[in-house]
Amino acid sequence: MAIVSRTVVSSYGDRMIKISVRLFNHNEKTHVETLLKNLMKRFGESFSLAPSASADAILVSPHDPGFETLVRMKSSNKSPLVVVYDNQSQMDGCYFLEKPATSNGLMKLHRDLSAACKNLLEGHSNVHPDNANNKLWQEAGLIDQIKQAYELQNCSVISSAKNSQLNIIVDGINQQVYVPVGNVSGSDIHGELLTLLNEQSSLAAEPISHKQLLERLDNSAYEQFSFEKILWILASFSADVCRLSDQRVIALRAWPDFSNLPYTHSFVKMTALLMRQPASISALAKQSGLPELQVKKFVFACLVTELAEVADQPNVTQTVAIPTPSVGRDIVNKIKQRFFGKRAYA
Amino acid sequence: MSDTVKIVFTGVMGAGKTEAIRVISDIDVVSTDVEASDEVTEKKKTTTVAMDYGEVMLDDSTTLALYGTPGQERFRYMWEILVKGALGIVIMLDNSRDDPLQDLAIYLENFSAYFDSCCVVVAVTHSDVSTLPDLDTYRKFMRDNHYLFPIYRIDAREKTQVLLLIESMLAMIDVAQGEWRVQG
Repeated sequence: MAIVSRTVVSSYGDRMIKISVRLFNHNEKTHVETLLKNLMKRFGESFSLAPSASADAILVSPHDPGFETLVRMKSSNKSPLVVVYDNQSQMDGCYFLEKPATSNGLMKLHRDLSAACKNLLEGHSNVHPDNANNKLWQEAGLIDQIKQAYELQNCSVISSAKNSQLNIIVDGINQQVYVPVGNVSGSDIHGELLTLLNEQSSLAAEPISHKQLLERLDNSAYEQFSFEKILWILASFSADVCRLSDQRVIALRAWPDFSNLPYTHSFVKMTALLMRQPASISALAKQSGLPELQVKKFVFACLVTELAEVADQPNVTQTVAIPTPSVGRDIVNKIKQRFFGKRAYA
Repeated sequence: MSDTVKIVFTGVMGAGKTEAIRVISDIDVVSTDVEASDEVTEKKKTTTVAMDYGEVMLDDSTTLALYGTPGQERFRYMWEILVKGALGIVIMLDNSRDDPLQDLAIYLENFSAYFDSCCVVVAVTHSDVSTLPDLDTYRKFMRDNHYLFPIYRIDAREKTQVLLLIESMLAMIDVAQGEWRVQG
């Protein structure tokens, strides 16, 4: 899994502007990053790449499931500036970069962000920008915090402000997440994560050294998860799925590794459909006969783990040929019945 | 009249083909293993020189035959015989070998003539021994070569993981046969 969101940094005053490119569409992301790199060459040291966690501005699609969270944080005046990558510039307080991005568009954005960041610094002269950003990310969603640890390769304890016993340990160096066993009475691991996920607004992240992390692991029982698996599970639970547009076309880039990720037969079914042809959530729900919410959860899990992306075109018709074995439906159904019973028809 | 449909497990020596068949077969696997006497001796005491055979009774008149092909290149002639008319092919890779990506490339090339008529699933074993190449590397390799097959890291001794390979195959068949077709 390659969960990386690169950040481009440009200078203003004696500091750099950092712009994180958070786009689920691979082509869009590559396009914007390529243009930014070209501008970096023209600006010399005034641009460079850096992790997104310390970003002054985040370039984001309005279809991003975390978009509203970013806007909400922006309105609380805790940065980062939100740059909407879209053709419609109708969001108060946000900056816009028109699609498809051009060098001129980015130059203008650079000027706007430079001015905004200067104002921000003057208005918050007693706050070191990095500290402000750390505070910001403490209030970001659980999924974002884990992804941030991955990008920064640091270690932290993410806990509920309401119940400090409810926490997880994130090891960004080895890309593992540890969930304590039995901290929440009567709750399994998934239940514990769900509880934490539901407390997004009151999460606190405490950075710890790797040595401290090892000490904590020595002292309590934890279950270990890979980043991919924990993000997959969290996305499957997340309420953010409600913000996914029904009409945006989703393209799958690879089969999820169901041998290591929790799945139901419906996930395999949706994967087979999406590998053949990108589809919107509503189309996928209609064809698979699955509830739209279930489809959204699967799609969101794929987006978060970067196995899927939002397709370039709203009406993608390209179809991948799938081999057609000369086997009758009756035999296929017999194999299903023999190995999977009713589960195969879920 | 009885029907027989088959699935072929192929791949490098020691990738777990025999074991994968064993865990789902209704009968004891018929293996033509002999004591290894050449370059394979360091990896396995025995190796399959012709094929493995297992079967699953679907009902009184229908059998799912499970064939394991010899992993060594010199038995290549057997691969083509076994794969003809198969429902699907499982390509099994041993991640602890020197160059499993090259192994994958060879097997994809060897069986490419059957990709129009067989569903293909790739299973990587021994990831616990060697974590690299990781799954993303395999995925990128397949994407770069225009293959969109399912690929999983599995333990061939685990029945549920071997069944996942078949479940994926059946899902692809369902889509190909129009059981589900995306509209709108």
